[in-house]
Amino acid sequence: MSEALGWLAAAFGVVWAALALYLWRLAREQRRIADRISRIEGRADDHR
Amino acid sequence: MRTLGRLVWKEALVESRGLERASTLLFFGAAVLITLQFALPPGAEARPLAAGGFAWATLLLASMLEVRRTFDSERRDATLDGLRAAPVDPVLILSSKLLASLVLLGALAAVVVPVTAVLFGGDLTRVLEAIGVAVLGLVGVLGWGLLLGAMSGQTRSGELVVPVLLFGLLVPQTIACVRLLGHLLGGAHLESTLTGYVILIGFDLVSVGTSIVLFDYALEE
Amino acid sequence: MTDRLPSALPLAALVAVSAALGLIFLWAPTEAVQGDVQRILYVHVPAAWLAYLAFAVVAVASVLVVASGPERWDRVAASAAEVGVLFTTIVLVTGSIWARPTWGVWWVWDARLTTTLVLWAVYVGYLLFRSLTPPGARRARVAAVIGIIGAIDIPIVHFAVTWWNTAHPEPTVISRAGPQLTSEMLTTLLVSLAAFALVFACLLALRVAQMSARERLDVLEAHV
Repeated sequence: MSEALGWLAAAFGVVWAALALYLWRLAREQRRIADRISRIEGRADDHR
Repeated sequence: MRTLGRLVWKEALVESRGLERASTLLFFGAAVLITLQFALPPGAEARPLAAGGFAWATLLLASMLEVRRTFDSERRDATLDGLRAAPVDPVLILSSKLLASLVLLGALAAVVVPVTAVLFGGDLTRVLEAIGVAVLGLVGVLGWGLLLGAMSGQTRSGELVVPVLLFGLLVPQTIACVRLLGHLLGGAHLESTLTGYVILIGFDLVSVGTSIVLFDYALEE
Repeated sequence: MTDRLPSALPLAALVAVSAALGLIFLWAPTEAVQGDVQRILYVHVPAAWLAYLAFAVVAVASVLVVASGPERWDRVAASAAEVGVLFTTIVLVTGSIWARPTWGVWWVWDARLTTTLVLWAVYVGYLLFRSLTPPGARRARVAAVIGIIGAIDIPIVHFAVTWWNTAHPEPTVISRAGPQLTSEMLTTLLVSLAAFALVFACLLALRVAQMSARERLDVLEAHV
């Protein structure tokens, strides 16, 4: 039973890690987009 | 037809002005073969059976170089767009490059196939058919290879991208060629060569056909 | 600025994933022959189906780029390729982890596994190509061409690999899901499939929205 647990942990660990990594990438991209938006809004305010 | 001839002649001229492309491919092929032959122990029974695979691997790697280099002069002089702007059917541009590269790589195959057979203790009785198989295989490689080679012009590190994609796409051609060459050069068992040839020629048609259809679209600015 | 995801979608995905995990570990029966390791298949099989779906989306979107222009469908193709590669990686790795205790080997070169590996390689190449090409209509067109020839190639690969394997026919039939699929197993599988499908939809929608936002920001930054 404990041997099966090892394999299960490995498999589900990999799935979790892969999804988490991708979601982290998405979150980072989302932050970058938010930064660019606020920068543009800042520049637009400067022009006014 | 005459335009095709002129374009092929242009390719030949670019080539003969420096024989660098031809000789580089030859030396590259030799280097690869010499390295690969260490993959198996000297007396191994598998050596003749593996001759086909190693010959094809060598030709594939040389093709990777060729599909990029054939566009080098256009990249250097930025003439690819000039060629396309000229009233020349893009199909002819692709065909001329394909024929020119095929002559070059075909000549390489005529050397690599027999030499590999010899180095791996294979059988030379059907070597002409084997060279024919290799050349047919190279047609399929060049179809998609030239398309990718042309498209990778604008990319950074284009040299890396073409092999990464091309090896995967060419798996059916690799399988067909290696099985047929293994049979012809090493006596590997093959119930019927028909399926092998069907894959080989079918792949050629799909590869060259789709390239011709998509070439102009792919290079639109 | 970013197209808002209907928040119902990620919520539904979260619920479905929780439900699936619960079923997989607490409800699904232990399989007679393979033991608990068989539970990996509740993840491996749905991931495979959705990975293939992702690449079908890439193929269709690529054709649409050629047919009706690069703007919208290029983003769909790129996002689907990303999610597809993610899921295919999961398929290949979980498959290997399941195979080792079950078959005794990490890998076999059967038609399905080999084709999946080649599929993975081709779409990694597709993403690499995109990342190395400057963004724009040209990249969208080139990517569409690769998407199309990739889609044409994969069935040929499957056929060729099947033929390649006839050189050494498998002595035993390797059955994937096991001899019987009880109704509890089927239910668990379907719930897991729903969970994966919702996660797939979320990731795809989010990624497309991000790419769209990025493109609009590029335009705005040029003007401000």
